[in-house]
Parts: sequence; C-alpha cells; structure tokens
Amino acid sequence: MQSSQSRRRVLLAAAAIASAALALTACATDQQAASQPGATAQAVGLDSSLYKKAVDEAKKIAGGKQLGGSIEYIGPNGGNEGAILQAVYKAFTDATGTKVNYTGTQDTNNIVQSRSQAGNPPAIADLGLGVASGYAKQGKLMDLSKVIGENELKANYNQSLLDGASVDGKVYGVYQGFSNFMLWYNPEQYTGPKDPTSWNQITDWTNAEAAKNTPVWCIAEESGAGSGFPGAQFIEILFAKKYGPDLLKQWGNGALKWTSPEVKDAFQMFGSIATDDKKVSGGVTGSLAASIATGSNGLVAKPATCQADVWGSWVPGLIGADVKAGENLDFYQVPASDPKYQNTEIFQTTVATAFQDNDKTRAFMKFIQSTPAQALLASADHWTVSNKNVPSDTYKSTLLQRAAKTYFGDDVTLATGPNVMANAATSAAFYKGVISYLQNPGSLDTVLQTIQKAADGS
Amino acid sequence: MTSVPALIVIGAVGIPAVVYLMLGLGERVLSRLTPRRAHGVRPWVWLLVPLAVIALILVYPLVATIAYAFFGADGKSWTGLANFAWAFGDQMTQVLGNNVVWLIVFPVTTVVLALIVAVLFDRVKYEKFAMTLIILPTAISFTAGSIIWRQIYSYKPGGTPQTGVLNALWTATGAAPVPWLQTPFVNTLCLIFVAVWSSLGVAALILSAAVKNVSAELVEASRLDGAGEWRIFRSITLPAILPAVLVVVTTEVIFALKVFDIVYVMTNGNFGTDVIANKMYSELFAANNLGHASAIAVILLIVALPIVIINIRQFPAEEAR
Repeated sequence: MQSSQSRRRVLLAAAAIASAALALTACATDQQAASQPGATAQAVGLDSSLYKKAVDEAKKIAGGKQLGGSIEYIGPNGGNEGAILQAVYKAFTDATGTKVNYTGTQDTNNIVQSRSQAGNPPAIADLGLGVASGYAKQGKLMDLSKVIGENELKANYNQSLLDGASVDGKVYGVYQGFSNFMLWYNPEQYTGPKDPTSWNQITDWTNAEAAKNTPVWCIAEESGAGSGFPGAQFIEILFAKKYGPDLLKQWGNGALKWTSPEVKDAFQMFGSIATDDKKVSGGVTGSLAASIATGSNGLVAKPATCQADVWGSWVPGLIGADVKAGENLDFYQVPASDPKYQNTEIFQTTVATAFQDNDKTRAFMKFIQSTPAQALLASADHWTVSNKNVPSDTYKSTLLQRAAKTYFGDDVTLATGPNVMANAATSAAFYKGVISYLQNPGSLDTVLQTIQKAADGS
Repeated sequence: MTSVPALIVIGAVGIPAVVYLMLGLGERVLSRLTPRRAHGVRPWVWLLVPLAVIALILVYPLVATIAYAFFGADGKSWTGLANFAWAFGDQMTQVLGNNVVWLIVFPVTTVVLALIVAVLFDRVKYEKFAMTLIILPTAISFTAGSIIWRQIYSYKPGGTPQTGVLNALWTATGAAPVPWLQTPFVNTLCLIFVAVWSSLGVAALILSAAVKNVSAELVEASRLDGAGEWRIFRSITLPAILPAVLVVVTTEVIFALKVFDIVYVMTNGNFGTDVIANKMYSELFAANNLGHASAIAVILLIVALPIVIINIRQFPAEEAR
C-alpha cells in the first residue's frame, strides 16, 4: 500500500514537472521559437559577398537605424525553398535587427483569407496576382508605388510585370523568385526530337515510345492542399503556345469561359499524355501520388524512369545534387502548336504584398525588391529572379543562366493566364479539376463546368 | 498583443480577477436586497458572466450563421433558400455520400473494436499494458496522426522502392503496390481507419468501465446454467452496457459529421474523399462564399442536434448505473 502511494506521488510529481516544462516552452521568445539552425546563408549556398552587399543595402534602406521587432511573413515555399528565403531575409535581420518570421505553407491563400476576415492579417504575404489584386481593390495592401517609388520600381522590373501587379496605377506587390516553363530532359537518355519546332513532334515521339511500352513523361501532382497545380501549369503553357497571349489573358481575367472550346482543347492536349498509363512513368495513378518535390527525380535517376518533364525553372533546384547541368539535365522552350506563338511564355510567381504599413514592413519591401537582395536570392541557384538588373552570371547553374537569358529576352512575350490571375476560388477549383480530370478523363465537361461555377462565384 | 507571457498573465490572472471583482460587486448589490429576494436572484448574478460568454461565443455566432445562410457570398444580398438548394445539389452529392459512409462505417467499426477490446482485455492479467497501447494514439492530435498515416499510405509505382510502410509490407507478399489514398472509396475507408485508430482508446475506456460494472454474480450464475461466452455477452453483458454503447455511438456519429482535419491533411478532399466540413472550410476560405459555408453549417447543426440531445440524455443514465 505504502509503495503504491509513493509510486503515485512520484508519478504525480513527474506529471507536474512535465506540465510545467511544457508551459514554460510557451514563454520562449520569438527569436528562440523562430530560429532555424539550417536556414543560414552557408547552409543554402548563398554567395557570401552578395550577402554582405544585401546587408549593406538593408542598412542603407533603414537609414542605419535598428528597427528591431519582427515581421510575420506567410508564403507558399516550404522545405528547402523556405530555407533559402529565410536565409536571404536574414540579411535584412542582420542589418536592421528586425526578425523575419517566415512560414511556408500551401494553404497561404486560405490562411491569409481567414486572418484578413478576422482583422489580423500577416504583415507580409506572398499571393498570386489575381488573389492579391482582390485585396488591393479592397484597399488592404500597402501602396508600393509610394513606398518604394515608381522610378525605382521601373528601374528594377519590366513594365509588363509592374502592370500585372498594379491596380488603378498603384503597384501593390513585388516579385522575387520567378519561373518560366520549359521542357526538361536528360541528354544522356533522351530519344526525342532535339530542338523541336512544333508540339506535334513531341506528341508523335511520345506516341511512338508508348507503342514500344516506354513511358517517357515524368508527371507529379501531389502537393497537399495544392495538388493538381503542376498539371494546371502544363495546360496553360500548351494553351499559350497554341492560342497566344491575348486569348490567354482573356482566359485569366474570366472573359474566356472555362467551358470554351479553346480551354477544353488545352485540357485535352494535356490529357492526351497525362491520362495515358503508357505515356506517364508510374502510370496516371503514380502521377497523382507522386510528390512534386521528388517527381522530377526520374529524369536523372540511374536508370532514368522518364525522359521529359514540362515544369518550372525550379526543377534543377528540386532534384538537387544529382544534377549535372547540360549533362544529365537540360531544357528547351516548349515548342508551339502555332509557330507565331513560339516565344509566348507563361510564368509562375507570387507577389510579396504588405498588409501592415509600418517602418519595418516598408523597409523590408524596399529590401526584397532591391537588386542586391534579388542577386543574393539568385545566388541560391534555385529560381530565376524578377529583378532585371541581376546579371545572368549571378547564377552558378548554367541552366539558370540560360533560362534567364532565354526567358527575359526582348523577343519573348510574357503572358499571364489563370495560374497567376485567377482568384483563390477559381485557382482551387482549377487544381482540383486537374485531379478529377486525371482520375476520370470522361468527366472533362463536368470538370470545366465546375470550374466555371467557381469562377462565377456560384 | 502577441507576447505569450502577457497572454498567460491575462488568462491566468486577469480574467479570474475580473470575474472575482464582478462577483464581489454582485454580492454587494445582493446584500442590499431582502434575504428572500437575494436568494432568488443570486444564481442569476453568478451565472451572469458565463451566460454573457456563452451569448458572445455561442449564441451570437449561431444566429449570425443561420442568418448568413439566406444571403449570398458577400453576406449582403438575399438569396432565400438558394444556398440550401446548392447544398443538396450536384456538386454536393459525392460530399454528402462520403459523410454517409463515415456515419455508418466509423461508429460501427469503433464500437465493435472497442467492445472487443473492453471484453477481452478484462480477462487478461496484462490488461493495463494492453489498454495503454490502445489509448496511446489518443495522445496524438488528429493532424499529427494524419501526417503520420499519410506517410504510411504513401504509394510509389510498382518496381520502385516503396516509401510507405503499408505498401512496403504489401509488396513484400508479392502483390502490386496499392495507391491507398488515390483509389476511390478505398481512400475514404483508409481515412476512416485513421479516425478509428485515434478514437479507439477513449471508446474502449468508456466501454471497459461499463463492462467492469456488469454484475459478476449474474455472469457466474449464467455460466453455471450452461451459457456459453457468446450467449453471456449477448444476453447479459451487452444489455447491461447498452447506455455506454449508446454514448460511444452518438459521440462517434457527431465526430463523423464534423470530421475535417483528417480529410484536409491527407487528401484535402481530392480523389473523391471530400466531406461536408472540409467543403464548408473551402467554401468559406477558398471560395469566400459566406452563404454556402453558412448553409452547410446550419445543415450540420440540424443533423447533429438530435444526436447531441440523445448523447446528453444518456450521460445521467450512465452515471446512475
């Protein structure tokens, strides 16, 4: 009896100590709680001399003052990508003492929406152009034309990008990482057409390989709440290359219906590959289950499990150390179905927007759009960056150097479509629609009608 | 107001202090009344604070939600019953169907397994250890459990190394890997299993306590009369623990109606797994459609209310036992 009583006392004491310890963790400072030992400049491969320049730029922006405090920043980039961004923002922290608490989540739109409705939005959020313009029209975003200045914005960005991030002539967001879409392939394994001039050549090759029971495509759609977005981007690039930038813009701003023949055609062009088990490595089910973080790895695997992948300039960064630029991974522009749209390119990016207006957020927004900050981001070798003053040799990867030269050339038309222009509801319906279509290709009409209903707000 | 120590001080010190002051003030007012009048008014004075809190956090949102269910996406334009018509329309057919599957499979599976655990573990010496193992998943949040099981269910095409435990074991038998979360209907059952895994501990505890309260003399007498174990369970144990079973069933039915985090984390409603609570979330926060989301909330309330009433009525009966 006595030993069970003393055992009970010991257990109660242990439970009390454990509870107190747990309660004390709630008292951790923001700094302690947000510290990410791995997210240092060195850990993610940032150039140290560019890091110093970025710190100097942040000091200049802050007027040499220590602003202190912290900024909450929510964006879609997690994992390694989030670590890269945090390492870049640390330069701002080192210069100003302002901690940047970055959270990467695929639920960015939903979180910002719910917090905005609750009157407690994050200080900074990375949002799609369409979603951000909605907040800008409600007057919830900082006017960056005033804060940063039109001259500086024009000096750093192409006018088409500034126009895309403006409402009533006021810029509400700044771009950072920037991705175009290309056809990635492994030169060591690739049996397809070199420098194809037409999408038909790609489909003919795909069909020929499928007839030999060789699936040549890597497709990965699994991305948690955002599953389906790679397929949405594939559909959009096919649309752009066949129907051009003007019709793409109409699709993006809702003037062209989702149920239109052109949109249906783009889905079917995508589906002619993506819904065929013989053409996709791992089959359609494999593509639905494959994570976007590792879905392109098959290009460089030994032996390679696929030969082609249409996706963004982040592919080499996602594959990681196994990439030997130009040897086992290379790219070319997605060939057009209509030759006059060969240099029409879509892009994927978000814009950083400020929901709170104070000295810290103003300084931070000026910092992230500045050339030194974006050069630092470029040195991570994960994305091309939007600032046009960052020279292409900033990238260590010859692939990203070529991407920067190719897609920022004067003859390229950067076109915007639903992936960047649609509101949150339409984007969510688009991505879910891609998943539904892949599962049941016969349901395409229903899928498109569902997306149209979401776009109509019904 | 994001300082955690400040919030702790407000919660642990500030709020009790305010309540204490209010009650003190109330008592001072009551002291000025006649004893008889004060006796009648005192309960309402003491209930003032909790009633105000309930009115603020329960009644007001409830009334507002019911009102919004009759308005459009912006919450301003009157739409009548259009939102309810949408809630039972084409887009929602599969969603409602999934909830019906949850409503049937989840409570039945949980209760059956909990009964087996409660009855069998009662007869073994290592009951405490075994029950601890069953209860352990209860300590894991549904979100964390969902992330764990998402990895367990992970699928890679045949011929490639499997990263998911389930497919690794499955393919070790020579079978082809199964895309558990991508196969329609199978995926809903997989999600239900995660809920069963998380909920079994509490259900088993409730039923175990009920089983222990069954009269041992009655069981012994029936054994002496020649009744087999299954007959004893069916005729003596089960009727005796029926109120507890009803409590578990109604609790799990309520859970099945409002299941959200498991579906959201594991599939986000893709691959035909969407449920009504996840749909409500996406309507409100993705589609920004206040009318649709409110209509779904009202329907959930109407469906859940009778079950909640049954559940509440069972507690006194169970306590009396």
